[in-house]
Parts: sequence; structure tokens; C-alpha cells
Amino acid sequence: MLPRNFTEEQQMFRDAYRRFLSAEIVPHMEKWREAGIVDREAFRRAGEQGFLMVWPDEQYGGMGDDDFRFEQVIIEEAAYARVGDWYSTLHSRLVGPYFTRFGSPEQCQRFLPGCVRGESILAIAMTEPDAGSDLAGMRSTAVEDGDHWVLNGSKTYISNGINADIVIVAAKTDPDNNPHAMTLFIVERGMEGFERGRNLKKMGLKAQDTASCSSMTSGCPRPMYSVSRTRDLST
Amino acid sequence: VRGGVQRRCVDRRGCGQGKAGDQELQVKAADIGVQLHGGAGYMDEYPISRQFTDAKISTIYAGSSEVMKIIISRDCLGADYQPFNTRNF
Repeated sequence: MLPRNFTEEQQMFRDAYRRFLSAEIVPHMEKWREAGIVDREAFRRAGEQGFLMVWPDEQYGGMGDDDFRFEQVIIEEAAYARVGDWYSTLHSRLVGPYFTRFGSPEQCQRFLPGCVRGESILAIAMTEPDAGSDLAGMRSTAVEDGDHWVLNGSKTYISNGINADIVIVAAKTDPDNNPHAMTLFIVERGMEGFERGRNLKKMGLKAQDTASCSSMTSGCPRPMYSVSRTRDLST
Repeated sequence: VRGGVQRRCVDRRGCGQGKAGDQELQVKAADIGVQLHGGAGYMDEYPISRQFTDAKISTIYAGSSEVMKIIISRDCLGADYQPFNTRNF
């Protein structure tokens, strides 16, 4: 086994996070499992104490330290406390970095602080009813219509799908000529045409809300970045 | 792989190996855990049963183990290699 190597700050972070889990998460877990969803309040509590997103720069409310070992501590402690369905890593490390990697500074400024505070919850919509691991087979499209984009298609198995306030949606922007031209879109809660399905029942991770959204047609989402690199759409 | 993560220098192959290897190991460990508990391990009231069902998604989401194997194979065999399972169905 490799030596475990954490800084003193990370050790303190581990102790604090363990206390946070036992105070704010573990006591409610059974209730949340029955409900099939984690209370939004949990995200806000975690954000309040700085446990939700560590890596964003201080201007966005984070600690500005993108050392992955903080997340390692979070994952390990959640496993140790047996609250795998408190899946904060999805919010913080899977979806969050799309803003800084592909989004514009303006988009980071607009969305990240709320995410760090736990007020807006993130999700990502990639999988489709007919395209899972084979992402190139996705059928959702996005077409420009005047000053906005129109998304068309349906997505499924969206983790955090019920709680999410901001969903990053992948869609093809040039399906006829270039099947690899994919763009990520920022879809916010309440955008017209973006309908959530029911909370899906699963084998495990019972408190982790997973939803589908069928026949999504959504106006004016903000594109982040074109994967094809033919066009940078992050404006 | 973990050492590489800490040094921030993991390549594509390392990521694929880490994702597939760790998650398969998690499922295997949880499986052994259930087996070890016997019938009790199959009961909801024993946390190991939940750890087993929670673990199973990890080899599927965020790029299944099979997709990781494609990534690793491309890295080993070169960019020109066309895995049989990327053909258009």
C-alpha cells in the first residue's frame, strides 16, 4: 500500500468533515433514503461550512486550493460514515469544474458562488434513452435561433436530477455534417420547456435523486464550449 | 495511480486503469463483504447489503469499465486502432 500522504490542513479538514457528517448528514440519512432524495438544506449547510466546493478561487467563495486530496478526504469520510448517497462529489468535482474549464469568466462569476454556497445544485445530463456509454450516439440537438439556442431531445439518469438548479446538458450542434460537434449548455431551473421526469427508483444510492427529462425543448440556454473546437461558444 | 494523482501527472491510461481498477475492486470487496455475513448480509438492516448495492453503480457510471478498457487499449495500441465495439450499430 502506498503511504498515505496528507497535509496538516487536510487532516484538520478530515476531522471537521467527519464531525459535519455525523451532525448534519448521518442522522437524516434514513429519512432521505425513504424519501429518495437528500434535503436541499444539506447542500446549504455544507456550503455554509465550506465543505461543498473547496477548489474554486476565493473570488468565487472557495478556498482556492484544487488539491484533489480534499476531495479524497470527502469521499473517504462519506464511505466511512456509510453515506455514499450523500454524493456531494458529483456537485463539486464532476460538474463544477465544467465552469472553470469550459465556461467564460463571466459564467463562473455568475454561477459558481451560488454553487459554492450550496444554494444552486448542479447536475449533468449526458445519458440518453438510446445513448449511454456510447456518447457519440446521442441524439439531442441544439440549434441557434436568432439570439438564443433551442435544445431538442431527451436525457435520462441525471443524478441530482430533482434537486438540480443548474443542469449542464450535452447536445450536438452540427448533427448533419459533424457528429462530433458537441456543446455543453447551461440550463437553469425554470427555463421554458425543460421538464423533469419522476424520481427514478434504483438498486442502490437510495437517497441520491436520479431523474430523466423527456422531450426537452428549451429556449435560450447558455452554451459553454463546443467540443469540436470549430467554434468557441462561451460568450 | 494514486501517487500520480497526488503529483498531478496522470495520463489517459492511468485514469482508465484507476477508474476501472478501483471500481471493480470496490464491487469485489463489497461482494466478499456480503458473502462473509451470510444471510444477514443480504438483509437491509445490515449496512453491508447497502454498501454492495451502492457499489455496483460505480463500474457503470462516469464511463463504464468497458469504456475504460477502450481508452486503455487505444493508449496501448495507438490512435489508429478501431475497437470492434465502436462500430456503428
